[in-house]
Amino acid sequence: MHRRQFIAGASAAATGLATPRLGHTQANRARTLRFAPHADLSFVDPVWTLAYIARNHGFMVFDTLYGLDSGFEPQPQMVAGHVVENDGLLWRLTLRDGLLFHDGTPVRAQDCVASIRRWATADAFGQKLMAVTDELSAVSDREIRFKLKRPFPLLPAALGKASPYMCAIMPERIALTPQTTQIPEVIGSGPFRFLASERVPGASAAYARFDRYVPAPGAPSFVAGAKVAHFDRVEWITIPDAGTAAGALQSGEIDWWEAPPPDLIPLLKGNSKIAVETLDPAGSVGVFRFNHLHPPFNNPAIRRAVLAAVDQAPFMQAVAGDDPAMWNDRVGYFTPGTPMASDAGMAGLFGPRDLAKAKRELAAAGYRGERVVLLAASNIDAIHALAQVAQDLLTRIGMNVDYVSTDWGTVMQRRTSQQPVESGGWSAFVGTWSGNDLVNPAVSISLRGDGKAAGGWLTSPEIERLRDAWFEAPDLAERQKICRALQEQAWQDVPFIPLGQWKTQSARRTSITDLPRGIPLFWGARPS
Amino acid sequence: MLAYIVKRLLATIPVMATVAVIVFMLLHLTPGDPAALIGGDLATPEDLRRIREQLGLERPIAEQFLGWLWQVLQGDLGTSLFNQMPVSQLIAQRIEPTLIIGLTIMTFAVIVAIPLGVVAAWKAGSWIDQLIMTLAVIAFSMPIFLIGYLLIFKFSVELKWFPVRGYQPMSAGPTKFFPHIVLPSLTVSFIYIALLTRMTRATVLDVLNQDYMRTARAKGMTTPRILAVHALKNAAVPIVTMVGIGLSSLLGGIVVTETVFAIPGMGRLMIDAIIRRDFPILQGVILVLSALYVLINLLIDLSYSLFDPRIRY
Repeated sequence: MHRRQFIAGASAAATGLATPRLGHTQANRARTLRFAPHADLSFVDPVWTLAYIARNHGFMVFDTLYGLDSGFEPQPQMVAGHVVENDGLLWRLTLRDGLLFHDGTPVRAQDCVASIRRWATADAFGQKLMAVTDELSAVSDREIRFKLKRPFPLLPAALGKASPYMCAIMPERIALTPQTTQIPEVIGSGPFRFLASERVPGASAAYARFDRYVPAPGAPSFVAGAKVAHFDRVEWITIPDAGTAAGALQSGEIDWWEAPPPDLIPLLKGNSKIAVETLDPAGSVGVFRFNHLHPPFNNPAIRRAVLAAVDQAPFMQAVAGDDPAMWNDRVGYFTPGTPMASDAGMAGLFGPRDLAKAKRELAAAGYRGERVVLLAASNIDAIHALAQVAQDLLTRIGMNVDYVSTDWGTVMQRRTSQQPVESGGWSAFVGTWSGNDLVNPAVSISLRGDGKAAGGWLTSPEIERLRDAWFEAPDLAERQKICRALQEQAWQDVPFIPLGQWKTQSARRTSITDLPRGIPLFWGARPS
Repeated sequence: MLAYIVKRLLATIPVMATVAVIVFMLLHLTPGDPAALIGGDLATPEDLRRIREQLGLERPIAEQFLGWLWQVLQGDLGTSLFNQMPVSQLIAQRIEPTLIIGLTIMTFAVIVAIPLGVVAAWKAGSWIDQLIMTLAVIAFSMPIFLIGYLLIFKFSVELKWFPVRGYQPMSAGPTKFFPHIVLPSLTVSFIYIALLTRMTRATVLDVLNQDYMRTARAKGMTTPRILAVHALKNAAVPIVTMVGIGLSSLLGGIVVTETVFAIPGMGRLMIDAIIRRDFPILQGVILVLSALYVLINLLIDLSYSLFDPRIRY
């Protein structure tokens, strides 16, 4: 072979390598949205697990009877409306016309009843609803009836909750699967169909637009309103490495990256074809969680002494950088900017702390140098950063800290132990929650005092009394008043310590636009 | 030779059984609870008990082990605790990219490293030898993930020649398949090129100093013929051994390249399973990899007779 022939052949080969890829991309790009989620879709049943990724998947595939709008108010979604009779003891919910499941069968009230029952076995809000329900039945194919023992004004809010577990409506035959078992088929009535045959765990999942979906009336707002899909297909692509995800977004292999780490944001902002924006106003909240069963944190005075030492700003700087516009260091027990949030009991709790005073308060509270086992998950960046600041703070106020750094799996196992630290137990750990999980007492699962709640087993009859009262409050004003009292009580009992709220940013190609606000949702988004 | 192969294959049975016991015990003695991970941050003790019961994790370890062993003997590697798919199906989905990339890496390494090593030995002490050895040290010292990032930046983001991530199966056709394996294979190849180059240089250099090489030169044989026929063939056994060891130890590098290039292979499957404590997947993957290692070693042993007529089975 001559040199020129070789060069010509090599060039042709190189062109051949590149061209098909470009062709493939152009042919599909206009109608396919490629999305890199924060985690792999490990579970496909949003009523079986609390994982956010399953909830996000759930809102693509399943619809809900009600949906929360951006003001966290429930709006009719699958229901056309409801009638409340008998002084709030009888609710009649009527389904909209034309609702279909992805297998082509109509959505019936019987399906909804079975779905509600399945959901209510697991969800705390659902359990509360069922505790006051005398009878839940399908009066006809379109009418669902709740006969209640006591008025439950939050019924639409319960059925429309956006935090895990969501009340996903599925065909009765699937909804009869025990909640302890994952559903065998993913058939919903939402705006996208799940393409089970294309799922590769750990790598990708795919959805197709459900052409027979009948959108609810009204403009889309959070998980309420018209859910109109503008893309024929959505692909979720798991990219474990942040650097690779950045490269994929820059080169146009993905269109939307849910959660780029803060250190890559400047790089992405420097690309004119990429837009970085905050989609979720509720953001993320850091929390310092106690084991309330054993010393030293079984002593509320010691928990209050630690609370007095906490300045949220350093925690936020560690997790979200130096720009104060990206975080909030005045966070109470309810997510700032949501209806139940208030400044109750917060005077003097924030700003630079007097650590010497906190040290004295700690001694006065009876701390005698007991070992504090602080669990830290080193493989989750945000938690790792918050835990290091927490370790430093506890050490500086004189606590005997045993910092146990492991992976999240080990933390999750150890935090279930109710043993004292000498027997493999723990004293505290740091976690993060979506701000949506702290918007009210129904979804804030660690704001409990029943001695059984996850993460710390606090016993506080007053917190439980206020929480119960909140569920039965007749209106928003009364609920807000109760939440003020609940927050003031929480500052005394300190079930956990909020460490601040930060904005989570998303990055998208400018070739797509109108991404919905809140959690990752795919209706409304369109090619620009 | 057939008798030898049968004997070796029979010998793998106790090896695999030992691997199975050790892997099972190690996994179950390691901290971490899949139920806690499935239940999530807010799961109550009652939730966790319910999940453990459903997964069969409440049973005594011995009972779990015997149950798993019985399944394996029937050809069933179990079901993932998390996504409830059969482990054999997950492995079948993932094995192609790992095998293809592994073989591409070693093929590329052999094609590049052996000529380089022979030339370095032939020109021992010269600037060519020093250049090759310096490059080998650099290639050996660079972290795999760094090479991956550099290749992505240059060839995917800037030049857009190759995709940043993902994998297309061979069945998708060469124009889709080939671009997806170039950068992931190249990323890990450097370290094996360096390793094999140094190994080849050392063994060929040793052979070149033998008396029969002097005789060959005295008989008037050309240098290429001396190197290719006499030197390389006599140096082949340690080189082939190194290739075999390289193939067996490739998984570490493949885990990194699969992570960097988001390739759904066995390495990623294993890492995800470790993070999640998905015991059935881990047990299944390790068992399959152990079988592969045994097979590779058998093939390497058998290949010795091709290079050294004194070795007969």
